[in-house]
Amino acid sequence: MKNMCLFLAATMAIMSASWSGADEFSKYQQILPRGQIAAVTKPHYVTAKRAVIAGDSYVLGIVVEGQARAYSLNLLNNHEVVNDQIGDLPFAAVW
Amino acid sequence: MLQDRETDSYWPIMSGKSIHGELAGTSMKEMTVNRKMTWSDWVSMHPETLVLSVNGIEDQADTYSHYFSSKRGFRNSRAKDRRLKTKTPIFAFRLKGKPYAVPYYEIVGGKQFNIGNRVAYFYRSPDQGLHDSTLAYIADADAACLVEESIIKSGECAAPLTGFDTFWYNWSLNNASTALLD
Repeated sequence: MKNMCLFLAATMAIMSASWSGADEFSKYQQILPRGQIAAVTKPHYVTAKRAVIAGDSYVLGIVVEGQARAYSLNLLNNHEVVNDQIGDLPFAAVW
Repeated sequence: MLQDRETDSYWPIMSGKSIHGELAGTSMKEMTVNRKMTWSDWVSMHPETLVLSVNGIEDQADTYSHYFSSKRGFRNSRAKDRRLKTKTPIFAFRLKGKPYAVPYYEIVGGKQFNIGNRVAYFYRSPDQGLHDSTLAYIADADAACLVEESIIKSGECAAPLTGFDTFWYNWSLNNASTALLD
């Protein structure tokens, strides 16, 4: 699979209980233009000491190859997707 | 809906399988290494952590607090499957392509369920917030894992079970015929 640069194409969840084949895509309703919610495609990081985050704010935390990273859920509310990579592993942090 | 611009492919987040584009039919691999918890908890576990910073900001006000505290689905969406209320928080997952869901209220303090020849363990602490991740593990039925908080938290004996912490309406609208564990 190619390295993917993922974005969130805002759509409403499908309403019908079943779907099949080529009709699946047409069952989704687009509620925002593409790209309206800007994904983070070139993430920048700071150390925990430099980070300004309330203690009771929630984060999405990951650990890959011993490297820990945290993404504030409040921050992700505005971006919803972070295209990231640790070592040879590309991944998308999605909220 | 996740979109890959390069291939014009689309993945519904709740199903994880692309339904359109060059990569239609392909699935994404869910990572087992992620957890949601408070910043205080995370940084105490991982003081060396790096933190996402966007335009010099690492955190901001919660713009979705009303949504999470209300009984209404996004844009007033409702569950068609009435076995649970629309905004019942659940942990949802798939085994061999079959969707399952277990309500949070069933697994506070820990609970196990037999699923075929396997046993699934789930744990939520009584003082966990809505956004705290559910601990979920799965093992063969003859592994004889004990349903104890320390065992489940350490991940011993059983393998992590990937899934979604979400609301019933969101999962059930995208996953028909979900088996409900209760």
